[in-house]
Amino acid sequence: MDPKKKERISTALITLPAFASIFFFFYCFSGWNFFISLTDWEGFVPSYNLVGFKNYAVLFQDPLFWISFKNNLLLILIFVPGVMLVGLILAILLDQRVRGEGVFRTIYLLPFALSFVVTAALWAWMYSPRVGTLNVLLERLGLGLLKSEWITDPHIVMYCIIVALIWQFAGYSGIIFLAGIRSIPGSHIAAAKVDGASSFTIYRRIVLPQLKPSFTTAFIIFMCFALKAFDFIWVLNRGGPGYSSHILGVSMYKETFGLDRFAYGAAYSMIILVLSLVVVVPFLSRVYRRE
Amino acid sequence: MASLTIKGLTKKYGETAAVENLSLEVRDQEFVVLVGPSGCGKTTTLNSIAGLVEIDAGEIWFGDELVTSPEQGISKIPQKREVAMVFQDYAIYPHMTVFGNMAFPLEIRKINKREVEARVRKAAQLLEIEGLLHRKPRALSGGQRQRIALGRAMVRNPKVFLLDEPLANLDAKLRVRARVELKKLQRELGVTAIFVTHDQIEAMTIGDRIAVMNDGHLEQMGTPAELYHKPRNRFVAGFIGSPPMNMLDGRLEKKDGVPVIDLGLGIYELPRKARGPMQETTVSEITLGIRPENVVVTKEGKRNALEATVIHVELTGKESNVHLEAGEFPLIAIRTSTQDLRAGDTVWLSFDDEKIHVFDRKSGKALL
Amino acid sequence: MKTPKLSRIVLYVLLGLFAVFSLLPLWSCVVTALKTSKEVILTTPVTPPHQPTLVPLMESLDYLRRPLMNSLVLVGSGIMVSCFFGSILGYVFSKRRFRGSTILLVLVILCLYIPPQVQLIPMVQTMSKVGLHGNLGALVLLYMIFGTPMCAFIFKTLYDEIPDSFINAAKVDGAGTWMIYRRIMLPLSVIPFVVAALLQVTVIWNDYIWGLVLTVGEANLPVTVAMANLKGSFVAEWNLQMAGALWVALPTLIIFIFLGKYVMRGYAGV
Repeated sequence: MDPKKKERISTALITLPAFASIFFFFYCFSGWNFFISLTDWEGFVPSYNLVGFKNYAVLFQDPLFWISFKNNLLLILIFVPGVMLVGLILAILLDQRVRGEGVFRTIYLLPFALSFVVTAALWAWMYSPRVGTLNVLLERLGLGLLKSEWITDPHIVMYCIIVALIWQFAGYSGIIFLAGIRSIPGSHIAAAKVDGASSFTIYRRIVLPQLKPSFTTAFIIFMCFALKAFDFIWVLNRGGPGYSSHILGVSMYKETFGLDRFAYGAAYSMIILVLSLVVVVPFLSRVYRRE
Repeated sequence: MASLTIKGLTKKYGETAAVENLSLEVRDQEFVVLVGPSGCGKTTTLNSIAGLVEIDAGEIWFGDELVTSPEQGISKIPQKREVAMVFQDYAIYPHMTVFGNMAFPLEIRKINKREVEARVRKAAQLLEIEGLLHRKPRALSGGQRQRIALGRAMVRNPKVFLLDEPLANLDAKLRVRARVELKKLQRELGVTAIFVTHDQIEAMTIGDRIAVMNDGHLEQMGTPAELYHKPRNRFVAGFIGSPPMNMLDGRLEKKDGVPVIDLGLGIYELPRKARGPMQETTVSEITLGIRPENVVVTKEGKRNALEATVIHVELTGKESNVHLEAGEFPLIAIRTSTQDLRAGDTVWLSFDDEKIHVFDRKSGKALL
Repeated sequence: MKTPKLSRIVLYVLLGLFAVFSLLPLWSCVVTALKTSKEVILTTPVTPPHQPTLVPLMESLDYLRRPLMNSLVLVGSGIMVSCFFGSILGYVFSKRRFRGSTILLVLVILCLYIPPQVQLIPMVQTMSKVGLHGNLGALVLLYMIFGTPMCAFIFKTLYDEIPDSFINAAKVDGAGTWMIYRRIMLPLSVIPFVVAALLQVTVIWNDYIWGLVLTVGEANLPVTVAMANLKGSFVAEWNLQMAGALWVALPTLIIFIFLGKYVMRGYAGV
């Protein structure tokens, strides 16, 4: 057999298990899940009677869906820009020839090392109204006025969650932007200085415009996280109090594994998938279209 | 007055001195070249002039103004120094158009839009890049980018131009053309220019005066002719000129009361003019220097000539470089006719008496 | 510069404030985990204990002992297959382009952005069918497969940095694809393996949702699920909860502190 052909076959064989399993576990499952969302499956015994898009129709009229969607929107509109802004600021600060930069970077990254269940435990303690860190410290510092019910207050629970999530991801965001800043050639900064630009102008007109790739990367990562988040909220307070901190991922889990409404839960997850693809696909196609 | 004076500039990185006690002067509208091997401190010096690095000791004067003096706590930030700089990688901002790049320094100074447009167009015209003004730099060639960098420097009508190896990234043919155009431009604009390069040929062809640097020190500063014909030490003599000067180590001795040089494989009699200064010196370990074009190759023996073997003959066009070996000394001679020479031939080398150089082997200083 | 400029002072103050913000919850956790229940009530959550005690740590360890073992097993087995597959895929994507390899690459990378929610139900069904549902085997299989796209991307990115001339020289010398892989790529793969492995360790150790969905029974829980249960059941015993959280947090914190450089190469690439 022609050796080149032999090689092609051996390559195909060696990579086949990996490709096949990836294909199965990601793409087949997605299709399968879509199929399930079109059935009337409720309860332990799978039922594959097709009912068309009925589940989606019910979904769009379900007030819980809209509460969840609204909460996801809060994440998208506040958490995503928030964590990117904090990351950008940290990156700019760290770019100032700081002594002990490595130490600061490591400290800022520590929250990112933690599992969401740990973060949930830590912030449950921070936010505990009676004995938690925040309220106790506020009292001791004479700022008792600022005390709050935090995550037990349905009106502000989502905002408390957003702060905790920004805490978790700020360091990571900072690293992304710092890498972007550092990839700009030093001669650009030197040239701008010689041309008379102040530090502020340099950041505004030379650095920031060249950070577009970092912005895009960060945006995709945090947007996708905002859509699929589940662990943190579930462990923190199961989406409570009541339904006030339910997001799509939480509602989906509850419907599926709490109420055994599998088809309905599948519909929830398809919504999450579609929203994620809307964010990711344009980006990926632009990056890889060039090749 | 766009003159520049540097006194005792010293810059250390940790324990090593990148530049040590450097002093030089640049006159108004002069084109000075800082040249030397990698690591000699030329870029550090340029960056110090621009204010991009803080120096440890010394003074830098722009005309009558003291802009840097660590002893007096003066260090004008680069933004305020009114110099223009072109970097080796050109530093063209990829997210702005060519026009945007060139207009940037003017926009910072809040110059009105119409004036900005006029100045950018004028510079673009001069550099023949008018057609590129609305393009983004990404697809442009090295030569085009280099001109954009020059244009960005020019629009400010600065008094002093600093250029950090701006021709290094161009291919050979383009580099030669760019050299000529750059010098022409400098004369037309009447600006003072300080140009850094590691290429001594470039330095010789473009500079009004050249400062040869080595290991953080200034070896010699002078016109190309001065450096070529009257090098003050062995380093400058060996650095300037291509092919490089031939160096033969020997001992200065007295034969019959007359100073001669013992080269091991023969005695070289010094020309009459040289005998006086050589008589007075106490140095005995010396190096004899003679440029390749001043080495005469003959097939028959002559008085005061050295015997040598031809190793290789290189045809460079109208001349040839003849590589020879005399004893353990490698030598190069330049000849216009080589029909008669072959590798392996035995020949005789004599030196043009007017053109020999003698260096103290230990200190490198020129004794003749 | 004798006296520091105002802007430098402001810089360090800002950096310091954020450092405090980053460390506050962790500090509070450590401090609380070392307190007796009495001290938890009597002192503020940030003051160190007057009489530190290891009791909460020991008690939570008792509870978490089996889950910790489970997670170790998951981490150990999960990284091997995904790193291996990832290396092979990364090599093929980086050095052995073929028609359609870009599309395949995009499809593999897209996997990183597919939300787990769409895989939950099919995964449960599949695992039940093969009889792995409820025990660690399901998670082992899952982590092996799920880790592959990320590892493939890491290897591809780091293999891209190996000059093509190395490969071409070997080709001219007569080496075939898999000989090149064995004799040239693999020996140069130490860093990618470290990066991919560390990343996998972090992701697997920290995972919660899959452990929650696919394991049944106290003996089978990974440490994250067990710790979350701890939080649920011992509501008011903060020192115990914080101690439990500390056990879960410690391995990844140590990795980030000492090997953070390598982990970031993995994350920054994505």
